[in-house]
Amino acid sequence: MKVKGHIGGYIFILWLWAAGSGVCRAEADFVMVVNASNEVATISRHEVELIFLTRKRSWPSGESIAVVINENPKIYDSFSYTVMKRSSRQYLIFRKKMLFRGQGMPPPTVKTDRDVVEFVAAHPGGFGYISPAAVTPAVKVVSIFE
Amino acid sequence: MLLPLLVSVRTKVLLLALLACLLLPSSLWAIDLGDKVQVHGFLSQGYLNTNDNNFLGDTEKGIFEFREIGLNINAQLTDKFRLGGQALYCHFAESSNGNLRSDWLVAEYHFADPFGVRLGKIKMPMGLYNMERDSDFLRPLIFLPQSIYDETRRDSWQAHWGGEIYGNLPLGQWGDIDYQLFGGRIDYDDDSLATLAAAEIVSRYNAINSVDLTTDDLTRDNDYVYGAALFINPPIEGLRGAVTFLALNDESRIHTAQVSTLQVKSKLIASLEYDWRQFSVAAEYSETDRKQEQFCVTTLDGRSRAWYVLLSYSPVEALTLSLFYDEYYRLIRNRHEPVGARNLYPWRKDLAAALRYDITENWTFKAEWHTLDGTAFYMSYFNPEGADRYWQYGALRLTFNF
Repeated sequence: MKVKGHIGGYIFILWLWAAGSGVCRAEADFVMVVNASNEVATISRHEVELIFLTRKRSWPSGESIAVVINENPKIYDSFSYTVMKRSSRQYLIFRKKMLFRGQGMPPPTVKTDRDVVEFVAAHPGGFGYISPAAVTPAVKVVSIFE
Repeated sequence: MLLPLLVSVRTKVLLLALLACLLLPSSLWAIDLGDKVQVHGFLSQGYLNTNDNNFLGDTEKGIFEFREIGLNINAQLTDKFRLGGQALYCHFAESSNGNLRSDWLVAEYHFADPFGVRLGKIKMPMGLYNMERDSDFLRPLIFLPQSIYDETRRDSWQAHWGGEIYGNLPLGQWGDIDYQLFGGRIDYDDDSLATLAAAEIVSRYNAINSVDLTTDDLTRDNDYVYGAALFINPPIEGLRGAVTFLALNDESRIHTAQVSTLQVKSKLIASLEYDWRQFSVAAEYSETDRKQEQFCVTTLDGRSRAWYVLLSYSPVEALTLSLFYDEYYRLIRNRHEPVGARNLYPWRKDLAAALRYDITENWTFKAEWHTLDGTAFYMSYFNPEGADRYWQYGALRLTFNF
């Protein structure tokens, strides 16, 4: 009887582990885009992370970076895991910490790729991520390297 | 049946406000004034119950005077210049009596990535979690490890009026470092617990001078505080380290007579946090070298030691289960020496289990249970008849943020 009770406990722990392990999946299905006038062509993953953590705020040209967070559910998680190395929830908590500690304003958020394209096209220092199919001549794709 | 009798009117109002938050979609609460201005806030209501000792107030019968409400506004006026502030209402039993105060109030100019300046009332970096202590949903626990995040001094060491420089320094393949250097003065609240607990000083002053004064006649001022913080972000995924330092000088006066001084020569905290898959470990170690005098007699001179290890496991992302051990000794050199007749056990060892459940992005529920050995941190003030060495407390908390 005691062994049966333990087996039930182990199954429950395995279920919890399996449910939790889902947070580790990641697949890059987005591209980074800048304003079409921006001369940057490549950028390191770490630099992108620093930019979205607002620790790096200007391009090499001196232009202020205007970051926008795309909450499009098809790519938001993928971006968070691949580039930010944290889940979208952990990234949200980071932004809330910045805000409620009085250390800064997190980047604005939008819901669709189209909003990102409009934002980046409207800001010379604009920077965001969108689905590859949403790229238009108004923005320029930059490649990421490790 | 009993609950409505136990709950005060203010608690009922807050519970109704929380219920309204629950019924309304969170999008209605977020106030979006464009890219440049944002308004956010939170409401939090808790319940605290202790066995064998009182803690932070008359808690042995359970209290609902355990709430926080905050509202902040930020305006990014230019790419480099920001203004912001947060108002905070906090009622933590007797340790904070429900005053509305400015939590932080900042003018920030960001010159370049490695260098920016903030002026105003600024949160003090102290360990991993001090800057976010006023926002329950940002803390991993209801009560952070008390050895370092002593709740009785929370309002005292939360923020300072002055300035700081800050920035991010890239270290190439070694990662990067966030730094803060700060200096200024702390504005202690009149109902701050550390001020109220000075009743013994007032009693002694009354005996010496044959007068009948109260703690209302005592003022506690900070002459200065300064410090530094380094937050190290190495290229190892999930790892973060920090070293923080501060020093300060306080004095207490009754009218014009100086009756007490406290000099914190150094408070040094080393911190480490590591996330791996669903697991997380945080550990901090601190020593504080301080000297206290009352009526020109040294009553405390030496180092205290504090450390804790916090282990967390998140079986699913919204749920975090934590276990921690926390230890504090008032004096390293004489760890078990009683402090007078009222504090026979001037240490604190806390073994605690905690649960955090993020119901949605806007709602957080927490529960935790602590078993303790020792009565450091003003326990003699809460238990004038004498505090028991072994005691326990539990807490529940529900928080809405937008």
